[in-house]
Amino acid sequence: MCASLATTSPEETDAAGHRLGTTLGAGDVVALSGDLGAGKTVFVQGLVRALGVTTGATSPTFVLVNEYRGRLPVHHVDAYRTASLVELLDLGLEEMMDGDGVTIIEWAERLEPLLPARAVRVRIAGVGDEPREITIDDRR
Amino acid sequence: MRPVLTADEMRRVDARATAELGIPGATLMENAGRGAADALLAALPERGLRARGLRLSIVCGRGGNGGDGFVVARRLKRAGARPDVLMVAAPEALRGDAAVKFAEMRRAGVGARVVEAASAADVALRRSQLIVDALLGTGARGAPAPLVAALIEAINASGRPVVALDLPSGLPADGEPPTGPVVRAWLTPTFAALKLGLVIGAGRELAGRVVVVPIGVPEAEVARDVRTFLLEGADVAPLFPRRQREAHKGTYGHLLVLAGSVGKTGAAALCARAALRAGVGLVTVGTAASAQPTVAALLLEAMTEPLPETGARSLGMKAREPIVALAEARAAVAIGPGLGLDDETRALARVLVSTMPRPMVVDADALTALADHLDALRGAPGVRVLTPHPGEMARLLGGAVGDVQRDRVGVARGFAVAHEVHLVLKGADTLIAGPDGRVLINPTGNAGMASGGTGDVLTGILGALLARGIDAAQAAPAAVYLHGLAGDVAAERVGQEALIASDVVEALGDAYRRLADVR
Repeated sequence: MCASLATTSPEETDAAGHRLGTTLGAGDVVALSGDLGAGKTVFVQGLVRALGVTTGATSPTFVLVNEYRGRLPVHHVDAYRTASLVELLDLGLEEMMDGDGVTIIEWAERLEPLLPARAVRVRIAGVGDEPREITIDDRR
Repeated sequence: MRPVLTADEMRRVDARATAELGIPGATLMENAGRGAADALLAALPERGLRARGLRLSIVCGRGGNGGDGFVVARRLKRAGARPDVLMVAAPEALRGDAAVKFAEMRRAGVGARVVEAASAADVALRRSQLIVDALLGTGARGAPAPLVAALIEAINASGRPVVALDLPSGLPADGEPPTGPVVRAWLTPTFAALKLGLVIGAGRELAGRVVVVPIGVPEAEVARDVRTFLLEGADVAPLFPRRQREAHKGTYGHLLVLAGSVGKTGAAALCARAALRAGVGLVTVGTAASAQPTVAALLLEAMTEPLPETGARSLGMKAREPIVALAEARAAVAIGPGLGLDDETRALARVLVSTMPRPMVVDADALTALADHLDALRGAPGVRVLTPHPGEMARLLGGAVGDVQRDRVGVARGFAVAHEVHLVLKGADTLIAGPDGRVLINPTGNAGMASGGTGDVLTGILGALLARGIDAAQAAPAAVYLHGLAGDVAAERVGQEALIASDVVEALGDAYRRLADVR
């Protein structure tokens, strides 16, 4: 299923993330792409709130993964500064995705070869004051 | 003898290395991490593991220990391993050298993850074949923060072998009892020198095998001002060279044992037997007249001397003159085992301690006699070695056993210096403190020796070494080491549960033999 929606504020982007978050369960993978400043992290914040994470999400840019505990484990991956896919494999990305938590990946296009077919692909287009077009390709 | 540092002393070593030797902190951290990584790599085969492809979690705190962990991660990555770095705080929270080492690690292609709850680390820890504990180092104070404490428990629950950097997280560096969970390590590479918490108390077991990793500070600089040392067999072995072929029984000294009263004859016999097995040439036991036949019957090789006694049939004040006469021809005196606690006997013990010129071991009931009368030690004409267990130590100080046990090293050192004696504070880690303030920690012995009479055996061994002419500063550690070693031999023979004091005496021969192997 492929759906597209437009948002005109960070609050709406957050809400869109929250809506997707309510549908997620163990083993789900969300692969986000979009330019710097598109609102990926805002979307993720809504998403993890829906998963019961109370501490909020911050982009794990300088590490690679933030681990949260909500109603199930949440792995928040940021591939922006990944030098090679090996780094993420060493961190156990494959086991994360096959595990009993939810894996959220920002800059997912950088690790396309590792993404499972079932991944929910979210693309956010638009930057700055422009409205955002959020495309959600859900192949679960 | 290996220097043992407190957290404060280690901090001063680090500070001097930077200020006086000009070694940057980041270099010390790099050396520490590299040495730890090398120690880890060298130990892998013991676990059937190899570096290539090794999956390991490196759990890093926000301080310097975490910085060491980042270095280990980078080094292991280079060796072909697949490090998974878990952090308790975002890298923005890192300071100083740790921040530098984090950046170097990331540039080397090692990823990291921040865990906000220990449960989030469980999967990663279980996936790993090995865990490196880089949460807390010697600088840590007080109980671990909740997340760190939970991670310590998660590390222990993983069942994986753990390599703890510097010391297991949660373990106090100075040997105090832990106040929270402590990592149970398989291997502890510790930096620059041993830490007190690794060699006494709970740390002795929790640290697993301890390997000292040099960090680029010269050994003499590390040991400067250090006053606490771990005793080794090599320190003791040279005291016992091969026996002279032309030796006779006078060559190895004559010990006077003042011990035993009616009902407590075994203590005197054990003490004398231990002295004989410790290699003294001759032993005379001076004991209460009524106890003498029993003591004599228990001993074939020792002479016995019946002495005037009290109504309680323990040594009386009238024994003083004959004792002084006996001591003339003896090289050393051991007093106390089974002596009795009659007031007159106590008074006699005090007089002898304060007036006899011979080197003297003071133990058991003679120690109790000294409680509240420590002035008897002042100006004693010969060297005195006191061998209290924690209860006797507390009595000597007029305090509680708990106070002694909380700071054994400080208590032992303080007493030895204040009263200018050698002090052996017995216990799971027996300490030997000298009047110069040095404290030696004995590594031998086992829990099976917590059994009646083993203290009398130590007194006999110590008396024997003094009678053999060995200086008290060397005789005290040597006797304690041998006593523990014999206890270990005995435990191999009969097990810790069944071990009794006589087994320790009978094992002294093999203990000497093992010591000769060290030499």
